[in-house]
Amino acid sequence: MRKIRPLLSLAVVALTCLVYFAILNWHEQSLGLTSRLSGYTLTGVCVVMLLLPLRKRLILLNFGRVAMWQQLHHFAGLFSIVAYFLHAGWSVNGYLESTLAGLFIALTFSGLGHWYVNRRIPKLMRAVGPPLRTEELMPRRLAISNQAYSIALAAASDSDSAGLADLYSQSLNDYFHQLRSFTYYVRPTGVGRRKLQSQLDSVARYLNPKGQKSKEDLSDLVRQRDDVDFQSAMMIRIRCWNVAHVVLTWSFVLVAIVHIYAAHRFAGN
Amino acid sequence: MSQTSDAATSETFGNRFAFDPQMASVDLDSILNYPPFSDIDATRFPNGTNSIATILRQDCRLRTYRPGDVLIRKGEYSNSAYIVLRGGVQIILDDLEFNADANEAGQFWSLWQRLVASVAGPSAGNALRRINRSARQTHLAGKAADGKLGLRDDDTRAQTYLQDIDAVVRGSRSEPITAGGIFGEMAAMTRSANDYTAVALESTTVLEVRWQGLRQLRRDLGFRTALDQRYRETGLQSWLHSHPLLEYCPSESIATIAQRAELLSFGEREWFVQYNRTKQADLSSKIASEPLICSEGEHANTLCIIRSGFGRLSYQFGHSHRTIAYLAKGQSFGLAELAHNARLPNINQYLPFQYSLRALGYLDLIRIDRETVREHILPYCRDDSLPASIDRPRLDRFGTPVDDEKSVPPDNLREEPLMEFLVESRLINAAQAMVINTDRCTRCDDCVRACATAHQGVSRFSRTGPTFENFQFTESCMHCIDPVCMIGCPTGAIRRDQETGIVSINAPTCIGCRTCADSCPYNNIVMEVVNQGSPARGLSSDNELPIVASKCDLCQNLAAGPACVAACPHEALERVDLSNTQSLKAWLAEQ
Repeated sequence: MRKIRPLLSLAVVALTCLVYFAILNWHEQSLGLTSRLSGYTLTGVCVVMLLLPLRKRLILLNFGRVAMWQQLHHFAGLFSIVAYFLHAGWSVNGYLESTLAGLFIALTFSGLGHWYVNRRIPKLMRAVGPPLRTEELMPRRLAISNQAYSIALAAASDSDSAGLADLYSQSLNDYFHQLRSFTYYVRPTGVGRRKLQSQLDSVARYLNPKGQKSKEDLSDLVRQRDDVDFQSAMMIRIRCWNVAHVVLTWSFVLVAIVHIYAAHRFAGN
Repeated sequence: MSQTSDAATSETFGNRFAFDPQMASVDLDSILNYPPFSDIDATRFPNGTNSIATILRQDCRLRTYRPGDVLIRKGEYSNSAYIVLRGGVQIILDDLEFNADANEAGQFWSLWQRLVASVAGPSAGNALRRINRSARQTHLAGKAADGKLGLRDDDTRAQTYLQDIDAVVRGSRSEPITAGGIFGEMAAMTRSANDYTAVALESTTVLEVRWQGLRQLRRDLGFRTALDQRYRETGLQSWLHSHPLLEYCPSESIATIAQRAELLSFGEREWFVQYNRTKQADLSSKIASEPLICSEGEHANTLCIIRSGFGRLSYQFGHSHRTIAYLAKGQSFGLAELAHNARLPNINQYLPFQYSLRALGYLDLIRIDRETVREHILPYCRDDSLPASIDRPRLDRFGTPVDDEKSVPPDNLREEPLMEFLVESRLINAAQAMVINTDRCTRCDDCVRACATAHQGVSRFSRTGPTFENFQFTESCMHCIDPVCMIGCPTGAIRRDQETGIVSINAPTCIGCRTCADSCPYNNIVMEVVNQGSPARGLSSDNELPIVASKCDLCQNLAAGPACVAACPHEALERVDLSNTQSLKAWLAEQ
């Protein structure tokens, strides 16, 4: 049931759109004010979508699972795109209406993006290891850097592994002890990790068997640190989408209220 | 602890933590003169906290029932055994419609109740219970018109009763228990659900012994032997009667099976001690150390039916064993082979056991020999209740492995890695495991926040725990089938709800001794600092403030159910019954 539910829901949304289109058409032919009907419909849909954050805040109340409300939010969102274009058309005039249209489009894209990252990112995070909590990220980084430091220290005391200690002080130290760059958080890649691992491989020939083992351990720690950073970047990405969606939502609500007031204030009979 | 301190502890806790404070004023001689207490060797119970008098005052209570009153209900969990002092009780083996859902009172009414209960906030649970009780009263009143069930609500307790007990007893499989008899002891001792309903036949006085006291009383050999004999005569027969495999067996056959069956126990009831000790050991050595009950390749001459605990079903793979399933209460081992062999004309064609059975921690089973199975079980089994013929055996009649390509386990037991993981981490004990699908979880922690909201700002779990592929089994109370955390609680503060099976801690009676937290093999109970002035005796090592045990209570006071499940926007978090392979497979199919 869970697997066919999205298709079923999409079918319901499509049917709703058809019915809505037919109603608007009938209303227009009856010489009714279609802009008013479509406006109220859009307002209603927006109110339905705003029930999700409300439900999240009233978590102890027995109004069904948040997941169900989230589904409703998604499909109301899809319907709102159709409702918007039937209300406003393809071109808008005036500062207020243009702002509102811009906000609506931005909000729609942020919603779609949020939906996508919520589905995509958990799988990416799972691929790099067991799930971490936000509060575990820093202690985990610290533990990894301490381990790496111990290995480097041991290598420094062994003349046949000195190359490893040199590499640690030149590049690995910064990697383990500093946060990744802003660009990494925007677009996390494995380039940095691969570069360091290839540097480690390049010093392998100078190392004795004990040093080889230390090199393998350091290489593993580089990977572990990269995995932690990747999970961190992915968590931040989800949060950013969430914040963007929330900010756009309330901006849209404010401008929409002004628009509704103005539409009523200046509406003719 | 010394005798003196034992006595002092007993005096201090005395009535405060007694099962029934009124037992302090009861004349104990009037109880001790009745069997089975009259047969107990009192010298086995030294004075102090372990004396019979202390056990009676601390862990027992007297209850009186009117004719028709229901004492225990089939399917409900019970923490106590009952000894009939006066009157008589009827054990009814059939299912009665006791657990009528309040929702049946009407969809609209049910919706309204839930709404009211929701808006009422944190105390909604009590409101809901009141509403449910009145709805059930309404519902039962309807049943009462048929002359069957009723609900009496006096000042002290609500009591369900059978209005026309004769009619119910006449139409059901039942047996009487008279003065001196005991019932409910197996459910109490094995921490499992009752297999029958007990109803008072006349004005009856019973002594309810909570399991802590029962465990102490069982130290007496005479008491224990009498209990086992009593179980063989009544409890076992009732249990066999209720087993789906023996559904159509006549009573005479059941009596014969009960008489011939061997009652066997493997491992320790306190299995978690050994489990915690050997958690880090490698799997092969752990399997090798488990008590072997039946070995693959052995002559298939017995049927094992599990009464409580869990068994590991495995087969030899390379130098070790591979787990393919776990067997829980009510499941059997050896039936496929016995049924298969019974269809064969020649004894030389008989197949041996195809798999091995080992006790996982603690296992309690009955073993029935092949002849009894052939004479008294197989003739009364419907074909659809018997396993299919073994067309592709793993082992041939000499116990030699058949071609590897063919020696595959049955299709319904193919989730081997997951099975092995669940068995090794003993998650099979979970009736309500919190499982997070990490392919859906966005790490938003809405579940943790919801838990905190439902519990005065302190979450009762953190999103951490063992993972298998994309499933994380979070460290949150799983309301185990066998809740070992209940063992040893000196005040009975931790107990299982009879109706729902939810294990919860009563904070006002918790003294913060950490026994439950140390016993829990899954680290799902934590000690929480509470305000000064609570009865807690344990002190936090950090700040010397009183502490009590705290764990997930499945939000039983909320009409919406567990807040964590309700709050997850991605349907990533679910509560799953892992003790039952059927429910596990159904859930896996949904994922």
